[in-house]
Amino acid sequence: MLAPAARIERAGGWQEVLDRHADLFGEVTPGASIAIVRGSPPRANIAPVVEPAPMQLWRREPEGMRVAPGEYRGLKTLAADILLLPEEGALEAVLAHAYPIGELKRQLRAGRVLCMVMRARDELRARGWADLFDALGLPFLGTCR
Amino acid sequence: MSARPGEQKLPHLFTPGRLGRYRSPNLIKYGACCVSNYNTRDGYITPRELARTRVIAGTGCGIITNQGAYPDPRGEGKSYFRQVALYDDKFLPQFETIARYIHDAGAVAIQQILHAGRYGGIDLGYCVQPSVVPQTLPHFRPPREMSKEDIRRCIGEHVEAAKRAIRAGFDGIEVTSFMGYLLASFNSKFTNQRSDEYGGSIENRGRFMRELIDAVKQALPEHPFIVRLNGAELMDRWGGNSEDECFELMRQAAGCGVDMISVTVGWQEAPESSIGRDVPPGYWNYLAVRAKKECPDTLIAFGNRLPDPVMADACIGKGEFDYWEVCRPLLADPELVHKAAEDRLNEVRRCIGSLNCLSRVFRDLPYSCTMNPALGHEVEPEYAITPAAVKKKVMVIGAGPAGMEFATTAAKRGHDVTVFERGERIGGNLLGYATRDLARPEDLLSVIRHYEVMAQKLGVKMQFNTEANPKFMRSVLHQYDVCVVAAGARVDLGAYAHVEGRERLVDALEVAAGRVQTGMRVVVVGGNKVGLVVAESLRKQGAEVTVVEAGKRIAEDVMPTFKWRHTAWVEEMEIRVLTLTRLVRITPEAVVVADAKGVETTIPADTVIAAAPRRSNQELFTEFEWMVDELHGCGDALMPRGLDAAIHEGYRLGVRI
Repeated sequence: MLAPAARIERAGGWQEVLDRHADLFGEVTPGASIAIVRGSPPRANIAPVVEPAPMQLWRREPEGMRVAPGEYRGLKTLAADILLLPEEGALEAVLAHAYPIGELKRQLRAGRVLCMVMRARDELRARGWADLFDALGLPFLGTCR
Repeated sequence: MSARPGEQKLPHLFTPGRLGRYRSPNLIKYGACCVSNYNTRDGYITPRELARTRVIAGTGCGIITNQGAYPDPRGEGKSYFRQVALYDDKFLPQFETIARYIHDAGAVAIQQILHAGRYGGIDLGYCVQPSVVPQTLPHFRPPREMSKEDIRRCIGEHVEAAKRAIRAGFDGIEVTSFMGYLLASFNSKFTNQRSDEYGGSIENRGRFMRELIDAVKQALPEHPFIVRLNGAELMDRWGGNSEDECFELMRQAAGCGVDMISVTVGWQEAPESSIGRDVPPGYWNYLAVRAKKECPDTLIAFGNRLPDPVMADACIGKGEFDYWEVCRPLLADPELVHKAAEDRLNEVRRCIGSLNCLSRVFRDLPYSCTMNPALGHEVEPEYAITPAAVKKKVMVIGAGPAGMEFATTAAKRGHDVTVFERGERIGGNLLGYATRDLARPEDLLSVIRHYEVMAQKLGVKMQFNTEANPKFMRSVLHQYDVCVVAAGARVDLGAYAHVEGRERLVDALEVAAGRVQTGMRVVVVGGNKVGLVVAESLRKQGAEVTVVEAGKRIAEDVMPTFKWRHTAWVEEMEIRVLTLTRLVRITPEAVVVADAKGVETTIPADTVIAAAPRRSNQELFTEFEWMVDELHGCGDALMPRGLDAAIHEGYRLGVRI
């Protein structure tokens, strides 16, 4: 079930998180963005047809990363570079943690947040996401564990 | 012919088997676990690959699976940089050679067809999938949805590739429906979001696989057909198939009459370990047991994280699976099966699960093996161990991996080798490192045990508790023709000459070796592999540990496929990490560090360990220069690196001295 807009709106505090981790976004190019859409299970939002749902955008503006609300209408129309699909409660856990990016990494590894890349590797690199990927433990190159 | 002594000890493994109408001399299947990347960019098999497959053919396995070839001319199925192709007859001559090698060795020859699907299209900028489900790793290409026409064409291409392989002389075919490859992505409810007859229910999701199996079997009814399937995808947390669903798909494949199911674990993008050395041997065996139970009339091959032939023999004896499928342990030691048959298992070079092979493949490099320096160089005579033209008296300084690899290689060539070691046993710095390894100390310690066994077998003389210095060298003047300095590296405490309180620093290698005791509040300076292993082991013992790293990231010198393990352990164990931070001063109670902006922080500490920078023990090169005819060096004594470089350099020097 998709979350109501009010729940996303309540995800305040993210601007502070982005400001605190500004070093991870230093090379992100203007206009590049991350979309965050809630859903449980997270894959509900990768279905071919989804109901419009509120989303949060982390977009690079000239002055730095900015949090903005948006509306998710499915993968086909999404312009963001990266899509984060957290389970219920995962975002709250990230936000409540003393080191939010580290907690986001843990949530990704625990499968509570699904990260999907919407562009090819070279584009993502060119758009400045390498440091964030590194901090989240997502290898730019393939893996087999 | 009477059974060799080891065959009697491993009676199940060395029992003849049957795959379809073909008899295999034992129950060991060489698995196509890893694409070599030895071939041309357009899919032709090279002399390098042929030399390698000749070695594979000679491993003694009863069934040999040749590495996966992509079946389509577009390259949508191509996942690896130099993957072989089988979409045209023009590729046949080299496949014919490989089939002949395998048959000459008395094994059943299987050709794998690998359409990588979600992980394919390496040269195209896109991949094909059942649905447009974006990648979770940036390494792979953006997806395009396959139409029904694409599916039909793809089945046709598999059939043609399979017929081509049989024409080349292979006995049977294996297709890949695992690890996130094309068929697996249709099987998965994560990547398959279709609403037509190829999506939705598990019956529909498995349709493509069943149709493909049927088509190949109809075209080649006399030839065995093997399918590789996941017993566990490890993708269920992201919406992938559960284990129950994986086994339902296995039953579907068995229902199509496949001759063998090869059970595997994990997708490439799965967020947890399946084959690294942090997974204990035997951990996944339950999947094979269940496969055998659910598909009792189909042969089950299994070998994920099961590197030990003794364990495999016991599993087959208990009826847990039918064939031991093995690959990486045979990369590390192609003689493994023969050594097992000859009751020489103590001589085996064990796969240590460092995943060097995969680290390189995913960087578009030819695969190599930490433990087998000749791997991939079989075509080059320079890498062969041949009798030395001039037998020399050789002294080696240092009994670490570089020195011992050199010593055993040189001894095999007939040289008279003596190793001088200041410690009291073989291993060098690896010994302390291995015993503190959080993943599985036994794997790294097996490297040391191998050298102990081989030194004794080859008559390498070991002189322990001997410090090599000019005085010692004068005492042996003119007794040796060659001196090889393999004295390793040390932590460069001189780099902290400017730091107030530097006399309180202790050396990480001394801590690792157990020669220095530490307190309960520890700061480790240097987030490299030495620093991290020491930090993790001390944390495990209950100490409060902080790692201070001058660079931007920790674990920068760690093997790529193992890097994330260290970062995960650091987080799980709640080891504090301060990057872009340098040491300022040390007091009896604390350490003062400064970040990139110069802001100082005081960390309470009773022990401060220096793990970086490392410095080669090179002094002996200048001290010995005029004292011996030939002076060489290898391993960390030349430049501090790691186990892979140590073993490879020791070998390369050993084959040419």
